[in-house]
Amino acid sequence: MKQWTQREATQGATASPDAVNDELRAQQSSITTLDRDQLPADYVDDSRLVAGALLRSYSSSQYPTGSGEQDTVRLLSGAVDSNAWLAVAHTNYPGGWVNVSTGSGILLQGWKGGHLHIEWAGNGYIMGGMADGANVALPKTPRYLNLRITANGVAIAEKRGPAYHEAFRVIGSSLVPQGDVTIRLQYRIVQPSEDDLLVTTGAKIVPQAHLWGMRYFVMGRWR
Amino acid sequence: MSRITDGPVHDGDVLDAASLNDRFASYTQTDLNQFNHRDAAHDLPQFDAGGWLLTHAQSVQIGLNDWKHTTYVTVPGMTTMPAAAHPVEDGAGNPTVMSFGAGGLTIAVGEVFRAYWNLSVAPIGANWDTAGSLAYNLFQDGSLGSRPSSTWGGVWVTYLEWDVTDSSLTNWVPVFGQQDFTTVIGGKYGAPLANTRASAVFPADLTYANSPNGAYLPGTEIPSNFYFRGVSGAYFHAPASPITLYGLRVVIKGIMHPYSVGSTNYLVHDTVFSGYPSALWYNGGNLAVLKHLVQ
Repeated sequence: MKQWTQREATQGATASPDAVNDELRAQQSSITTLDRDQLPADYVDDSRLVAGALLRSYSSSQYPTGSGEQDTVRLLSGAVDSNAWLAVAHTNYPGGWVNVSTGSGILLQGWKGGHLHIEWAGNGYIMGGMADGANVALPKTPRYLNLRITANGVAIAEKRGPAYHEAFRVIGSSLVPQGDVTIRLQYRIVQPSEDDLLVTTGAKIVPQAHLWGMRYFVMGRWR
Repeated sequence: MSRITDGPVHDGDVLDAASLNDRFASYTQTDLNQFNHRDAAHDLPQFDAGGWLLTHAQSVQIGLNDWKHTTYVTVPGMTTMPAAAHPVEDGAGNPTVMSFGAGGLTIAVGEVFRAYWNLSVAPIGANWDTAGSLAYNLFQDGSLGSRPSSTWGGVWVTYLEWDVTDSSLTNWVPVFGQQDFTTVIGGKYGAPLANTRASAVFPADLTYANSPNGAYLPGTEIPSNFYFRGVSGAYFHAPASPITLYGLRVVIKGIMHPYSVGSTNYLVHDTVFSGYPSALWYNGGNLAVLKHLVQ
């Protein structure tokens, strides 16, 4: 509310610089930053705010760009039969969590700090046809294509992942401090059992896993 | 305005009550702008409720919504190429689509379009156990013979089509970044994986190789029934130029299988089935869209 708080200048009174300077000094905060009672209702829209003031989204209909396929572990051309993908096999999988892209990850520039919501969608293939063997580590347990999302190296979402050739969606959220954020999408498979058949009749490698048709959506909300 | 723009009063200035009151009166609430408040001063009452941030939200039920699954729609495995996509319908031949009305829905530059869909599906039959099927892997041992086994690659694919021509909804095309699996690759019909930005797949069958238990070959395959299960997909698009959508729908193709030529991976139609009724049953689902400002 705007009102004189020090001494109101009235007609006939003696005026001095302090009469106004005291008032301005006293009202410094409430004049330059209106309190919530002073702000009209329903007046904040995108014309009142600079871009990214409240939130910012980052999305791509294809990741990695150009292919949408995981490109870090990939058999060489000619290693598989034509009815198989150049993909992850036990012969080339390095173990552990692997990035889906050889690039530098998804960089969220202009991150002001706040709540991060991410959706990672796509399709995953895992060869589970031999998972019913008598000597698998966990008998009768399907094999999974484990998935996880990291933000600046910290895992913020993990999912057991596809057990077949099927679509997946991993959704995660976290509070992430200010500064550019690097998102990594990663996968992991388990080791074969001694029952697994790893090459076909023609001495071609049997692929074990692949990720394709991937896309992501990230929403950052600052407050 | 409420920003202090008047100069300070100095000693020696000639002042009167009127000039002082003028300064006070110069601060008004009728000309609020970015100088008047901090971002943190905003609270929910100050935000316009007119939907300027989330500019559109809509959802529609698709398919045959019978939650008991006593009725369903059957899609036979596709063998005649190039195959037409099967639009998800209500069981009476009526495609269940999302319409954006006569004026359509425009996605402006600076907006992001998000679509989500799910469908209750039940693949039946098998597509792996016939020589010539893409899902047929043969393992051989010189002394013990051979054993066919599934590649586990066979899938049905759901993907999005939109109508960007007019509200008659007769001009359906795959959404941006999605192909309709009609490219000919080595005699097969399919699409490069790079062109599957709106695809969501689910298995065409499920079969395990019986325990080999140290033998050279897997045992006979043991099929399992999937029954009804869910498939869900998501699609994100932030256009480089404005685009107006009049309709959106989910379509199905299958049976599909991995395929590679040279260094390129494809998803192609697998048209060789066994004697099983290789088909798909589906029930109901949902298609939902959101459109909002990127920032």
